[in-house]
Amino acid sequence: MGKIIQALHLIHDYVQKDENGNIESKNRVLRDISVDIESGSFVVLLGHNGSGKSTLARHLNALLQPTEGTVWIDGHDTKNQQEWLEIRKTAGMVFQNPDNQIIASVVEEDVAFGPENMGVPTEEIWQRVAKSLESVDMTVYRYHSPNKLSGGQKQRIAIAGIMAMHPSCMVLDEATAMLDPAGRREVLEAVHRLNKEEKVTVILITHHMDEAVDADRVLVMDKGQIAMDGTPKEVFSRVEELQKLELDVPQITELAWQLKQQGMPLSDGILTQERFIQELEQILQHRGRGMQGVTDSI
Amino acid sequence: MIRDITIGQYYPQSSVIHRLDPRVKLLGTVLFVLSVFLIHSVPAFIIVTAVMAVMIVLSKVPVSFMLKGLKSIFIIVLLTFCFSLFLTPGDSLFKIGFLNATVQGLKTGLYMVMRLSYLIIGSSLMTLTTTPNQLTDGLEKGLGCLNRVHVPVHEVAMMMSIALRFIPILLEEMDRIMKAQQARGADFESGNLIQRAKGLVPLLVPLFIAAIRRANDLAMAMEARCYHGGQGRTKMKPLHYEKRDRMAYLLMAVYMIAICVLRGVM
Repeated sequence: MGKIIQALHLIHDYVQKDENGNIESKNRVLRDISVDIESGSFVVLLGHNGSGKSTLARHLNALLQPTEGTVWIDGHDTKNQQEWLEIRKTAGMVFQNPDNQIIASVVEEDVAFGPENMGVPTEEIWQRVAKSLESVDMTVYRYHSPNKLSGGQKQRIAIAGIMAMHPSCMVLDEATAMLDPAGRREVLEAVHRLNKEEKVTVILITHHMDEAVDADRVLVMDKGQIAMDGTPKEVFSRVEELQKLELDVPQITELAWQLKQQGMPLSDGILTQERFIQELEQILQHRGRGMQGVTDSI
Repeated sequence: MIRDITIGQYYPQSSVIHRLDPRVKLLGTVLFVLSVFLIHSVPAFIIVTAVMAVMIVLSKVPVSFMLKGLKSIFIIVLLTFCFSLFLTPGDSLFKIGFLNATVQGLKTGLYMVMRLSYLIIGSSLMTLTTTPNQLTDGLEKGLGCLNRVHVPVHEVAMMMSIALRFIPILLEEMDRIMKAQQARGADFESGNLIQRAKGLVPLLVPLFIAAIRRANDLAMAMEARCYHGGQGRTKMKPLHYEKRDRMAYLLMAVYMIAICVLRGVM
């Protein structure tokens, strides 16, 4: 598998200028980030507010250009303005607020907005719209006005709008942050399905730890740098480090970790309830038949 | 309540008029309004009335809907009628104090009333049978020739359609800000006009800031979806003239010739 995204020594400064164009203040948000992302993988980017994760996301879509360093999206350099259209076709982006990214007043016309901009012929636009609405399970709503849909449905429309552009990579910049739990689940299910069935590379930016459990890879950002990088199991085994970065771990992982601190011989980085119960059962069986009743009650 | 406002007041129906190309309807409305002001004889008025009646029947929109639009201009119509009645010089009809109503005035006044109501009915027939989206599409394509003299037709049409999409969202936002301010003791309902206008300031400032933020987000989202102006853009629903549209153009030409002839002869 090839690398869809490559960043090398990426640095980004937000520069504030006064009326005369003199530099008033400089705020370094990304400090020397080097990261590769495999095509087809599901990557979750974690970090607390102000860690630079949204800024990094905007670099992946050429909405921002590096102050220093380079970002390549499928081989295209984001500093090269001629390549921007190509980059935006390759890496689609879903934003946080569902209302502020829907352009048309009919669902199907909004999904068609991307392909229209790319100059796709009319008949093909119709096919793409039908297919992408189906892939997020929103075909029923195609003639509706987006104003009457729920947050989760609007976000799925936004995803369909990106899918209609046939990107090989999709960046979701805190796309679940403004949704209720039901809406979050809808969106996550849709994204996971696209990753598995359409082989779209997904970069999910979030601060909900439980969304990271099913990922192929977890990146943790802090103060503009990548602080941790690995599989969910690897990252969530380092509970103390995460807590230092003001991040939580999923509830079940935290429980297992606490028990381990108390001397229970559990393994590191337990991510799911099933795994937790399984290990607990083994331990209890080990300790003898007398504990059988306890296992049953769990 | 505030969210129920519909702009343009589209009346969903499947009729010939609804299916016509928006460009045809736009030009038709302009010609109809023009013809209403060209005529000044009874037979011509009969023709115009008949054409309008046929259009209303074809559109399958209830007549009561059409007449709703007239309510709002009732005062203006009444004033125009009175001015014409009393201020046109000619043979005296009756007198109220120093005001002298004339026969010629009555005639001009009646014509004015007819013209104004036909104007309103004609244009609401268009907005009732065309969705705002079709309308902006029609304007974009119909006025496309202005591009050559550097009028940014595509941009203006895009702005119009985005504005239409955001009207309900901003209304909702205003509702929310209003409630938030009321919860903190703001009073929008009492006091005289100036006090009430002042009361709106704490409403408008956050509303504007929110709108600008939204615009910023939207611009970024559009850019992320490859928007780069009207160049090289294709359409999901391009406008094509059908047989019925060509027929409509033909009928419009016949109608205009008839009106011109009537004006020349009588």
